[in-house]
Amino acid sequence: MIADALSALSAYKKADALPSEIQPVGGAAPSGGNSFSSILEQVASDTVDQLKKAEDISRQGVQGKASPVEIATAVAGAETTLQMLTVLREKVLQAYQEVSRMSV
Amino acid sequence: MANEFNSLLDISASGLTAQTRRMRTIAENIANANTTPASPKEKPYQRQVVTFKSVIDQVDGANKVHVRGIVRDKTPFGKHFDPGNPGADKLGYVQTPNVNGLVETMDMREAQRSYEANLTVIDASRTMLMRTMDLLK
Repeated sequence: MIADALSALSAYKKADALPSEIQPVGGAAPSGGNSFSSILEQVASDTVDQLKKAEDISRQGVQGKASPVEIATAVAGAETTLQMLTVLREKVLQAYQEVSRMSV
Repeated sequence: MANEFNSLLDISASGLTAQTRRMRTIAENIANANTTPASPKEKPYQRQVVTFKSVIDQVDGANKVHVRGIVRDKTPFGKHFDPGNPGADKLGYVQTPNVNGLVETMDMREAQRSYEANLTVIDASRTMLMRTMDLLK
């Protein structure tokens, strides 16, 4: 699922890089730092981090080192972040397909 | 929003942990309700009480709850006539723990309700987040 999201991200990046002559209505195109793709990238890496953390805590829980409360909250947090990411991926893919289907 | 939700989870989790600790103390009290002293010089089990404190998390500035400490209940011990007990004094009285089953039951109910309240907060905030994410679908 994460691999899917990441490939969606790179697809979006490619789409972002392609139309160099098309400028957004607002004028200056967002470059680098605060662009949508970088935000998305951050969300993706945050999600991966959180999933790893949840996995670590679950592993500790199996070994009896973490309390059920810790496991449940870590997993719930990771789950919602992952869902957020998949929803965003769906939206981005949809937008990408929408643009690629556009007849010139 | 996700970060906000994560700190919310952490706050409620601190409540859950604190109530779990309280529950443990109650369990200790109930388990030791009949722990009489081994000799007349010793004291019976003294009831424990959990006190809480509010702690501001340095990372997200959230007010979390922590256990301040576990203190002993100063209520006087009970007395029970039992000359055969090794802890009995010259008159045959044994000091009994100051644990009251009814008080412990009520305390336990309160801890349970508080735990449920924290769980409900987690549930409600998750529903809010999910409904918001549904807007994107």
